[in-house]
Amino acid sequence: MKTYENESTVDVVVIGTGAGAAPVLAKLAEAGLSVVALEAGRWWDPAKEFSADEVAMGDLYWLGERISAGETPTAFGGNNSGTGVGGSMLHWGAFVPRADPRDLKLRTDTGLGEDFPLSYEDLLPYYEEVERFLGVAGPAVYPWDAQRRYPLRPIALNAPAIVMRKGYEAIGVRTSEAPIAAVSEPYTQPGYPTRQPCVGCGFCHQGCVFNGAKASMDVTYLPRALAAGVEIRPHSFVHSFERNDRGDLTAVIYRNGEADLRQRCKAVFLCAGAVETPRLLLHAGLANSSGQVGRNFMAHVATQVWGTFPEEMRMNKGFPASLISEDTLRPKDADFAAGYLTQSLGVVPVTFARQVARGRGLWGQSLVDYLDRYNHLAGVGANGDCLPYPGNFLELSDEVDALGVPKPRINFSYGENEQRMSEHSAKMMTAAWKAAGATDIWTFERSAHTIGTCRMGVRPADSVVDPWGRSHDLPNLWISDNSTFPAALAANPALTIMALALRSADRFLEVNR
Amino acid sequence: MFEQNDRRRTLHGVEEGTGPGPVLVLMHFLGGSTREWDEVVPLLGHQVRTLRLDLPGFGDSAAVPGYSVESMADLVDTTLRAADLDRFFLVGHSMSGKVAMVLARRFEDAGDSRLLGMVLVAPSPPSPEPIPADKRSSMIEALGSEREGDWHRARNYITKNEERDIPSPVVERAVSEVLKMNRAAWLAWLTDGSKEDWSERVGILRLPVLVIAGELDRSLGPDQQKAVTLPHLGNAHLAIVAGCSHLIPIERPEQMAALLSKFTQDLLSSDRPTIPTEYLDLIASDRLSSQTREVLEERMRGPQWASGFLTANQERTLRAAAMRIIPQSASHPIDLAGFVIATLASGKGNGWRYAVLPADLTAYRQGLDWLAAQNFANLSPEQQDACLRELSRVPGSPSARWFEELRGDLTDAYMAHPATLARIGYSGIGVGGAHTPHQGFVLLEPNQQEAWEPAPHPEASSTS
Repeated sequence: MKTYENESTVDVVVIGTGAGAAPVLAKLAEAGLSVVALEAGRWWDPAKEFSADEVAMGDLYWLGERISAGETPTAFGGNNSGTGVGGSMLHWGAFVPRADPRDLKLRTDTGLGEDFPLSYEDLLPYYEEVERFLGVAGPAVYPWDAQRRYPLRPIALNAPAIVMRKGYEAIGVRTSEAPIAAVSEPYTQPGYPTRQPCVGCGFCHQGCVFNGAKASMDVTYLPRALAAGVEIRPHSFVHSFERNDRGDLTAVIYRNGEADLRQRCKAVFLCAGAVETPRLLLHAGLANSSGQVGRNFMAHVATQVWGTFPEEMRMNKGFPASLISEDTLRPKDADFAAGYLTQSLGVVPVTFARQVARGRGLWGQSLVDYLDRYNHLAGVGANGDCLPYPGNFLELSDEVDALGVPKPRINFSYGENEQRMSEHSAKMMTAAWKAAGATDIWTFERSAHTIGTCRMGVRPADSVVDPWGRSHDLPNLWISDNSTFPAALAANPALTIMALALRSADRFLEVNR
Repeated sequence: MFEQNDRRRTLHGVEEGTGPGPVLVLMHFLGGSTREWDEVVPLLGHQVRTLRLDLPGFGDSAAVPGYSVESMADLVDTTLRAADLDRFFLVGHSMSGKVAMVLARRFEDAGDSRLLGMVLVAPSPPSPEPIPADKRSSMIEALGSEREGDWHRARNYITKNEERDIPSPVVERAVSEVLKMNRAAWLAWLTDGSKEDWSERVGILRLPVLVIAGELDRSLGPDQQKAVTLPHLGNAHLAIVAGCSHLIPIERPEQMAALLSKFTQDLLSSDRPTIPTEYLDLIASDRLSSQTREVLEERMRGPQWASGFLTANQERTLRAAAMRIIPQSASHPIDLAGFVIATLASGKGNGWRYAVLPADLTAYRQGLDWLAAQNFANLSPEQQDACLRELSRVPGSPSARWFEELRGDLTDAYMAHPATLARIGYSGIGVGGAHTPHQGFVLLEPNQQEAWEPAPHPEASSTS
């Protein structure tokens, strides 16, 4: 790996190594720029260090405490954070639907929410670039987009997917093999030895150990970035910046072990996610002339329906979410704006048991008896759009972490739109599960993914960054992560984060030519 | 310290330790007391539960009558019943070693399995103890009645029987304990108790026993134990403490504690949650990556944590709550509360908390204190359930959120344990790793099972 001196001035410091950072690292380094990536977590060796154990793999999550407030406080930790070289993509589900074009202009269509300051056509080439490079597996024909082609044949359906297809057929809702960023055949891309096909171990959310089968950043964009001369520094938590008289950023200050180190740079890409990015900016008092940093926090409506099947499901086997339906992106009978997609669910036992104990509220013998049926359970879950609200925001709390940086406090309450969407999805999924032969069906209300808090927009007065992720206030600060989304979109966010990252990097190269 | 309901029918005792394991019942030598174990008990670690007893006439039981071996055994028996112990080890030293053996015979005859084993430290044998006549009379003469010069004679008793290497503060304390005794008890043991012949009645005991003898002990050392005690023990080992004489717990507390720990832990290793052989075979097989196997084997050894995170009362309350939230009827349940405390003690949270709750450990302390204030651990199961329901009466309230955390944390500990994974027939541990010969799954459809996948074992950790 190429290395740089702290005192030398590199072209770009990238904060983070996840979905928003890794594509930027690869693109900028390949354009010949000197680039250093600062990652708060460690550098894992998956083959040697990852185990098939949920508790042991808890170290993949960001464990710095987040304080969750509001009427429907969202859970952090497991599902919504990551640490380590590769970021939360180390444990992502690799479920990669594209954003629906209608979701990008929700305000225009409905008067609610916010439009993206860009169109689906702007994103399309980047979607295709990411899908091609990662080796996305998907159906030959995608039912909701006839034009779309995926590079690899689909990943095998597991038992929950098979019963979901049966139930959905019975109630007249279309399904398809899901677009999945795991390779279904040996796949070669620049910078990494051949990635081997997914073996269906089911542990995607605990980190993939199988020779690059799942397209985490550590086997895709990061090797490419390293080959092009990027230096990645693990255990480096950025907590402040230095600026010159004109106000430009000139260095980032980060904690490495017991020491505070300074890396001089000409520009900064902040890619720390929708919690750490606004937390750092609020702490540093930067890029917030709009007052929008931390505002408009959104989380997907991620309601799940569970049932017991007479057949053995063994839902830990195979790709956790391998079937999708986009039929409900604009339901005809909806009493809400926007919509949701649904996916089959296999969840490994500790994660599942915890949500039964917390979410279903079972305890005592009924809990033990229910968990005994693990091998017969399967679920189906929604991922639905969420509107931005003034009352949903991230702020700095009055508690500090070990470095003296205030802990973030996130206020999140469902509005009527989210509540109705959740109920609509629960009703449909319950009907499908009944039709598929499930009994003891129950609904688990939850939200997932962290979105918003540094929204992009055309007007500096009401947005933090421009449509390419560049700060309105600080011309050499760019943000590339899910914080810039002005709308939540129904699609799982990672693919769109990566597409926007490539687009930001192109723009950066263009304006700095 | 537990309640003495009837000062004449039960013995004074000192309870310590908060772990889930069986209790070590520690008894003393002639002229000693509970304080004989002051150095040993802290060395066992705070998770080891101990109950020290003052035998009749000694320590804080000086006023309790009943000095014959039979009476002493009766009083210990009554006291243990009053303490309501599920499972325990008897640890007897010298005089109380004989009492322990007599009591063990009763338990064996009654088929009472609460007594798991014994540690006999330089025990007086079931047969009359071979004390030379002149020594016996000089001991009666020395401390048989209270008179001038007692302190010197008591000090002599503690230090001069043989060469003994005991720190002076410990000597001072032991001497003052000798002087606290009821002299009638001293006389009774020397004139009668030590001469009583229980050899026929004790016969040969079957339970596991560790006999510990001091190398320099001239009256009840290794050779005497081999000759007069071991013949009564069908399942015993003799451990010899080098350079030590008769007062092993105060002469060599580190070795004493180490021997106690090893003996009880070796016995209890079979006391861990039972995992069916087929599942253990799967764990040992090349279906698992070495990392996965290491994690599971570590978990099977049980939780470990340092002291000071919860008070004894908080921990007792947590254990009682765990029983209601995740009932386990297995004879060797998973130590769910222990795993939760270990996680709390590690200081490693799960990355977030509800704003209505304080930091994790504080929330636990507050929640458990509230339950403890309801006397939770001593309520009936129905009352306990009502208490837990009360926590979640107001949705979203701090108590409801903490109860949610408590359920989640206990459930994590339960589900992650190999005993539970075996019980549900979970195959995910066997997906292999980057370098194993088998990887992942091939048969994914409903009702498709690969030959190696385990079947559920509902009896694995529960009989319900």
